Amino acid sequence: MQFTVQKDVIYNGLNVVGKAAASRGIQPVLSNVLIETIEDNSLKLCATDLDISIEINIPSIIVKKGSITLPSKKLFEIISKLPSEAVIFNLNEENNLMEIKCGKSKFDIKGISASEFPQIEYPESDEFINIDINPLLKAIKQTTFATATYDTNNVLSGVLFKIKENNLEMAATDGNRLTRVKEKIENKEKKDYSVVIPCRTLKEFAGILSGVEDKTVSITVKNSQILFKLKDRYITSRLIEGQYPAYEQLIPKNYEIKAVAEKNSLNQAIERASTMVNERTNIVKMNFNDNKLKLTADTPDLGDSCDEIEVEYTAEDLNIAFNHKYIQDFLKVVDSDKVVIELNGALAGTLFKPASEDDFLCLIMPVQVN
Amino acid sequence: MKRIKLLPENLINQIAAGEVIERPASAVKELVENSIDAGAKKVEIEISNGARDIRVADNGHGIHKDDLVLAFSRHATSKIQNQKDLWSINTLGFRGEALASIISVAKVSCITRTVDENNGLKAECKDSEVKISETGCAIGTIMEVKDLFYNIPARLKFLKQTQTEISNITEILQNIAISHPEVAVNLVHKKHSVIKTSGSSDLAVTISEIYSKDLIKELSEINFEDTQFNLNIKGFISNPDFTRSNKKAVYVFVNGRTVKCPIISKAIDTALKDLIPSGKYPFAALNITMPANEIDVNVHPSKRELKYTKPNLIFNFVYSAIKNALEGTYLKLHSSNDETQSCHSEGFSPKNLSNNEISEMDRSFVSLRMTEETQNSINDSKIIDFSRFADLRDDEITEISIPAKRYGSDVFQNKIELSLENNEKSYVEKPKIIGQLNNTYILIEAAEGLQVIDQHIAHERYLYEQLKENKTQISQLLLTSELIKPETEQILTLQENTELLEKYGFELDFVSQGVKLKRIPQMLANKNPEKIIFDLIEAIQTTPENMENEILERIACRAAVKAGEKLSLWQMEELIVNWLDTKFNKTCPHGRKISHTIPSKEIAKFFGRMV
Repeated sequence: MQFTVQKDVIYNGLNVVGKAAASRGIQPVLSNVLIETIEDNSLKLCATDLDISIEINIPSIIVKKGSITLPSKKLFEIISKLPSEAVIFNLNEENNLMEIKCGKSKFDIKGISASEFPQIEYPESDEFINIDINPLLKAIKQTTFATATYDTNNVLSGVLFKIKENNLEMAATDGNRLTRVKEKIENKEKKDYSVVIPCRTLKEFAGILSGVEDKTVSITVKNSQILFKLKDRYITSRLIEGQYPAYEQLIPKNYEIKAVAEKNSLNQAIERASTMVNERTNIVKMNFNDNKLKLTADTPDLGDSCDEIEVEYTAEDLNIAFNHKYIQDFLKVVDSDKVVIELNGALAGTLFKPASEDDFLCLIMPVQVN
Repeated sequence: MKRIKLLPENLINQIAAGEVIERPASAVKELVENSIDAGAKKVEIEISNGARDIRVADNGHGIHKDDLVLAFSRHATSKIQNQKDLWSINTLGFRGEALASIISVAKVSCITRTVDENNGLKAECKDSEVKISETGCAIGTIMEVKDLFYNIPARLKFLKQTQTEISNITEILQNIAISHPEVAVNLVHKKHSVIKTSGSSDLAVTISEIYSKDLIKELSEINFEDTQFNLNIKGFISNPDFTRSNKKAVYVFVNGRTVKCPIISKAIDTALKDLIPSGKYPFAALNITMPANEIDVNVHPSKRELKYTKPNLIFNFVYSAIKNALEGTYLKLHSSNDETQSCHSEGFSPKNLSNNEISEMDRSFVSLRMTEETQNSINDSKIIDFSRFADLRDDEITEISIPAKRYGSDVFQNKIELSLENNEKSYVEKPKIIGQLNNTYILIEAAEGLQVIDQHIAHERYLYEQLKENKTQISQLLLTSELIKPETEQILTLQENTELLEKYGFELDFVSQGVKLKRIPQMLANKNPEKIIFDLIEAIQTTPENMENEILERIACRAAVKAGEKLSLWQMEELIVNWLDTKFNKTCPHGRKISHTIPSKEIAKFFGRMV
């Protein structure tokens, strides 16, 4: 096997697939990246930890066909330090030693035979839908933060991904809060899906989009696997099986009291108040009264904090407490300048929404403080 | 038909001896206790002939010449005179059985002289008959027991190997020596001193003579008093990270008498319950003094059992004393390293001090009595005049007496806060964190060397103490949780305890197929609900008597960082600072050790560096 590739091209390629390589594992080959010549001017890079696989095709000049796996981290380290020039790879097939040359630099790196690399099964490509990347990315950003983190096989550790007609609906909950976002998409293929995608898969998908010109992504679901396909790269992962909770019925349809606040001033006030929260509980207490929102936090033996902002609020005096991180998580991903807070009393779920056309909401359960 | 007859005297004694003198060790115990009751400051015990010959020599006040014959008859004693005395016994013996029992099963001779006599007397007894002659000797008494059990072949047959008997004797003498640090005890076997104490009156010195000097470093001093009921406890208990695998080294003395007392044992166990692993025991030497009329020692001839008039009071007193002492250790940890060392060498190792120095220290002891008034003033005004304490070192504040009914934790809380305000804020330094090993242990550069701390259990102890302090829990309401399906009987256990669970921030929703969580303690907000539920079931089912603490332990364990979790430097720092600031931070709630220090000296030695 022998090929030449531009440093920046392979650097970017390794950067994309490297995230799927296992950081530590029983099988050393899983922390390697598969390098395989395909067609005349194309090289395939692929990495997998058996949960997620990422693959990218990069242009290169192939002198001699072949395949090998090389340690992902070490290879990336080598490439990253090379000058922006052509890099020449030359494999000694007898001992799987890859020689890497660039200008006057030369490295020999030991590889593992490509035959030991797991075969990655891709869902067949005749059943797919094409959706726009931008609304999908936005929905990913607005849901992934709310997934449960305690067990990666649990249905709550994934994001519900639902396509029906021209609607994309995504939702996530860890039991303490729930986010749901709806986006309009073009569903030319008229296919409907409702699956639970691991949070990590969606995050990695968002991560491989750097330097991509594609406007749409093609998605295939089959045999508990999902495939996101772009022009030169793929990401595939298992889906989470199990019944996702019927969250629609958890979202209050009506509300008693409403408050509207400036996003930035609310965020900054929480930011300030939360400096004095008890790191064990993260609780910020809120008092809504007469167009004012008062925020307080305290830690025994340390001290307390108090902040106040203007809000639109005309209902009765109300005290409620939240884990401030949950509100900040919402504020970080909401696009509008103002946010609407729909309250149903001190011990009921509270809805946080953007004051805009966006169909996005975050239901946060309060904390009971005695 | 056989007729009923009164038994001859020596037969009565022989039968009774079965209870009092079971084996050589019991004879030694009776004789040495007699010596101590006779005011001896020095007792020498010599064992030979397979532990069947026992010689006990003391420098006590001896036996009056007119009493010598009487001394060997049953129910003859100088220790009590009338019935009233029986209810306030201040001597070890009082039943008047010991000598009579011994002479019925062995050949005994006794040489004694009181201070008023010029000549000593020698009494020789065989088969319960006593012959007296004059002899020369020093003031005191020498009892020589020969051929123990010569006339009871059955007992003789059941004597164990000499070594076993010697070790039984050793055990009993250790007890006596520790309970009477003012008496020099010397046990000689085959010309070797098995035990030798100096009678320095200092318990720490006695312990180091019997065990080792190193042991003293592992101990916390107990010095606790209840002025209202006139209770007093002095002694030592090992720090939670030092344990032994049997109870032998738990010495409990009530008014100088070794006792095996369920109430006190229970108090010790309860105080250490969440500090040391189950199946492990502390080293403890507790010398409890209480008014003699509060206890009845006349329960069994061996006098190891006691009856109290106020058992609850005793339990709370012992429990509080131990907790207090160990919290004292915790406070010491706050001092800066140099300070700690000086505390250790001066405060904890009185062995270095001569008797004079000790009595001088005694005089300088300041007793800080927290009366209710001062306490209220602490609560109300929070203005405390620290300048008064500022000149005192930790180890000088040794005596804190508290009215008995105020043993509740609030009192200790006040005391701790008071000391913390004084010490901690200025002394706690940022730990020098080297890094994390295997994502499990935090490595710290400590003054003594390399300190390795288990991140999970350190965090667990911190959370546990936090939970215990905050009685009411802050709880996160949940919008949904998985449906958990325990067995029916397990669901019933949960249902029975809903009130308790609610107290700790759990609210469960019992639905037809199982159970869902509706509300959980804030710190469990992101944990696996299934594991939480099964934790609760296990906590309730396995330790019903200590359910509440067990539930808190489980919460702390679940909420704590796990082994294998990568922590940032900042997180490690926070964890360590919090942990250092925690009570009982040497062991986790299940008793595992939290930290291990590899001394710099050892590391230097390994690399062949001169220190």
